[in-house]
Amino acid sequence: MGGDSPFAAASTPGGISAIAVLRFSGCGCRKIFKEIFSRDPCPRVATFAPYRNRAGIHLDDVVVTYFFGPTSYTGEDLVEISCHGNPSIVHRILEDLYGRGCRPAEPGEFTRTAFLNGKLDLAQAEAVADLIHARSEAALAFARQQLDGSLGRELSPQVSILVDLLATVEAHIDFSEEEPTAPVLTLQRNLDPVRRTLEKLLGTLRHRHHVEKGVAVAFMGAPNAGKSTLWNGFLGRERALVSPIAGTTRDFLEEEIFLGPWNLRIIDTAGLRETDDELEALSMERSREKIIGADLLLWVIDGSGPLDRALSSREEWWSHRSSGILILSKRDLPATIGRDHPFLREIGWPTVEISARRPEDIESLKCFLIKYLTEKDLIPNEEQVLVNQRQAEHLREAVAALAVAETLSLEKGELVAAELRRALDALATITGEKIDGVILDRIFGKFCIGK
Amino acid sequence: MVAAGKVWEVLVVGGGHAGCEAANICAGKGLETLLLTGNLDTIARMSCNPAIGGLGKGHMVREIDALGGLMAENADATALQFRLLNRSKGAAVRGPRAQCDRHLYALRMKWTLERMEYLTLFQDIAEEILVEDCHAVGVRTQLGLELRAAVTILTTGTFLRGRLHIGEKQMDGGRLGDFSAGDLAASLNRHGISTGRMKTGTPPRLSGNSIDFSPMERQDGDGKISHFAFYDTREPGEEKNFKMLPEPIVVRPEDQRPCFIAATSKCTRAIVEANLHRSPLYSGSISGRGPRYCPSIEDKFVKFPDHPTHRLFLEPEGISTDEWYVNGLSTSLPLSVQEDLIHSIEGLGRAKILRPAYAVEYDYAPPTQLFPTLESKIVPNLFCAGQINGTSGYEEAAVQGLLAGINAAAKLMNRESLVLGRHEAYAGVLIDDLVTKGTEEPYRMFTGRAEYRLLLNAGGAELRLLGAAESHGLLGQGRLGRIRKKLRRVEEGVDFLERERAPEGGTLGNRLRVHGEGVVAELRSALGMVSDAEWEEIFYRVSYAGYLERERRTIDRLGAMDAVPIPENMDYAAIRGLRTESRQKLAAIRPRTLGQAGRISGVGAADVGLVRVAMEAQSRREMKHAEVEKFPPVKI
Repeated sequence: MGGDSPFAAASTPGGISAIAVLRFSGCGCRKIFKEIFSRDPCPRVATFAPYRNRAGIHLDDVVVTYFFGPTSYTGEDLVEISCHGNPSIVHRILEDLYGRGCRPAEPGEFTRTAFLNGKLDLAQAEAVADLIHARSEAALAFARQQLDGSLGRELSPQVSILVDLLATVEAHIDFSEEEPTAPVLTLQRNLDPVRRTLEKLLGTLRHRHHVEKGVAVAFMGAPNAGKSTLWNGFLGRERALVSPIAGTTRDFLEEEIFLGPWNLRIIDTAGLRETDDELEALSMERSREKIIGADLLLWVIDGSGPLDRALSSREEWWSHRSSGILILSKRDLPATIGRDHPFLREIGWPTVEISARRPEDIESLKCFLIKYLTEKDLIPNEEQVLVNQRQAEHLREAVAALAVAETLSLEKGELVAAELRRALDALATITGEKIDGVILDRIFGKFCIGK
Repeated sequence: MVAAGKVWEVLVVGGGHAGCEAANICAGKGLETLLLTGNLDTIARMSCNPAIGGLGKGHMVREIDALGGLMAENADATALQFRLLNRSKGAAVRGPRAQCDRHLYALRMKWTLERMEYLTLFQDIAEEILVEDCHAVGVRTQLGLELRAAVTILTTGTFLRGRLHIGEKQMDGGRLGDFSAGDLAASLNRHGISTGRMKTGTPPRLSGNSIDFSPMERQDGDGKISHFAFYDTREPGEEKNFKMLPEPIVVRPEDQRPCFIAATSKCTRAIVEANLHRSPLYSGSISGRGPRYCPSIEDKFVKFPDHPTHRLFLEPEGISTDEWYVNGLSTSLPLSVQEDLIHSIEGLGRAKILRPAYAVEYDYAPPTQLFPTLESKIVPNLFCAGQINGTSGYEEAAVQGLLAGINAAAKLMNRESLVLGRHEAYAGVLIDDLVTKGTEEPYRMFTGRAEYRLLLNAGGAELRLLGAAESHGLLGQGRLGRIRKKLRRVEEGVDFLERERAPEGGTLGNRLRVHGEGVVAELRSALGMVSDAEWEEIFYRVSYAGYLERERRTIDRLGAMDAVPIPENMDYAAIRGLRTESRQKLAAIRPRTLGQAGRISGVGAADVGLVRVAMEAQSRREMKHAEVEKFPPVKI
């Protein structure tokens, strides 16, 4: 409704496409624009520019256009960004915009703002009414579906616990005179499990990302360790050029495969070694980015050759993650490195021995992979609820409020109540249930109030 | 004069807590005001317990004082005992409360009103409201008088079709020993104002010399007296008639009178259970809805079977009487059972009942029929305040009477009305709840009803409501000046603490938030000369700074919606896409702003969005129309 922070959203549907469009609008656009692109906006000129996030990481090259209000779609300043149609890029740009002070747009908010600023005429106004209605019905249906099935089922016991606690705290404040027997509460003990459950739900945002965009699995290892052979085996065809010459893979290769319901993006990277070749150094640099950004690493080690320790010196590539799989390849050749080799034990990842030339080895590795991804919580159980970006925002708010509440004593009942209400309000935004009257009902049901 | 057919500016019907405040504020503005009461001796009568204030309620009494009302001073002057409830909790939820002398409270209020220049008191009973051209023009009385006035304020309490129950015995009346105003309710109905039924009850009164207090727990007043009224911003002598009595009953803490706490026994429970069928509540002869927060002893035992005993509070009714009020023993059981009940309680074995407990059923007019000014949407120039609006409690009634009076006066004087926000006052919460959501049971205020509770500390009422008092001329210039000065000193004090560095790093404000009470003396001396009241508020604002800031941000976010007015002629039937339930509620309540629309139960965000779109469309249509008239198309 204007006045507050600008709102941002993707304007094109999710999924892979040539180009995706994102917009943000409202007051404060200009400041955000300048922060991202380090220059003043030039109205209505499409400009090609790199998009760097707050950490300075180059997310994509984009075409950006700045529209000044009131001559924009919404009637307020509006920025339109066209990036490559990769859901992951769109997601990361949106995340960055939220970090810079935008908030997620409400359904239909661009059009609604446009209407309210007089950008649409009367005939269109009727259409807007229909649109808003249709949107909210859809939102309602979505909310109801979630209540029936999944998110509601997860949230409603938590809401109920919080309502109970709030009722007790409120009774303690308003009626301690009349009902001195109100039970003594240990907030910590009561809130901690709720917060944990919410945090777990919040964690599924990553799952949603993985489910929608695929889990990135990078193959890394020394040159000629057999990464590309294994990668081809995964893909089921000879996509990568394979040769006995070390350094055959110069650039990374990325393909999507499906393992059961799960979507993996498997990435073959250039082998790592010390080199003076400028081109090879560059390709290794690009591989490094892929490896660091991947959700899971497969570290391929030639089990028939001498141990190449080059990778172990590049600790930044792998040591920040708790999970990965070591693969001893070329098991069809005489083995020189066993799975109990001290180096492998030191890394501490599970080890799989295979020959990439044996299809049954590839299959069992795939099975192991799914099991491992599930175990490491990188992909959800099939019945698990996944939250979306908007729901995650509210869950974060609730978790933050509960974390504060846990640190307070009941002597500060009014502050505990303020935090519990903040959490409940945030959860109510997700479930769509007003809690106003419920608290009083709970108080009167639970305590004998009244002199 | 009354009989001479004079047209009054304001007619107040009813002399209870609401009526007194309404009459005082209107007459204080120089409006010719008539206060009509069925019995002059029961003006400002405390029909239930002899106490004022409490949590939420005490806050409202402070607000009444900040808005030029009478209740605070009257309670201070006639109090027998002062207690600040929730003293161990944060200042936001501390509420002042006082036991008062029932008779002196009423006497002093009557005495005050009798001496007001533009106020006339008259004893008669209103039987019919007079309506001409759909507007209220006064009332017809039992004596056959037609009392005509520009605005009429109804504060009829429990008297509309009042019916009393003591066991199987029933009689008409709004209070034991008083009449019932049956005809007036019918007259409201005839003019399109609908009414519903409510119920409340009151416990027996005992003779003090028949009570053995020795086995009971004694409850004394506080060592430090917390008055309701803000005396630090009054000049000595500026109080209204503080000098009627030689001096207030309680001047020093040791002047206070104690209360006593007793408990029900096993025997009490057995008596209630054996006689449940004789209680009109359980035999079905009472249909009105009673308050859940003030259950009868029957309800307590039935609904909470796990509670072995319930506490009872024995409160003195005054220094001029030896009657004692048994708080917690409200019942409508027959008198013989009441005697058995009383005698089953330790210390009350030989106690004599002076007045029996009874339940009262009465009509109320659902308050969703009112604008937030408390003026009727159905009959203009008619205002309603107090129990007729479905509330309970002296403080709830008084604050409504005050605001109805302010708004009635504003209407007569062509001034802007006063509608307090939910973030400004408990009075704002109360009235917004009433006119937006209505109420199914007698509405009592709790601090928990206010979503911005932390902004509404009792100590800050005067500073918070300064703007309202100024714009509506509710306080004298002298006092307004002193409140402005207090506000300035508080703000400077807060700025100082948030600016000055502490020895350990950070600001003095941080030091206060970390160490709390432990560093009060040190920081207060750093501030220089500040009064106790100023320091109390500075301490509050600094120690709650983060929370207050967050609540203000929320208000800014949601307040935008409260700033968008909905045209009074909004046609909800014409809005496409509204759900039927929302359409009906919106049409019935006719919210004034989008914010209010959103608070109606059952009206969702999508509905509010549709209303907003329709409003825009309507105003654009009107604008276009106006433009066409201004610049008619020219043929070339």
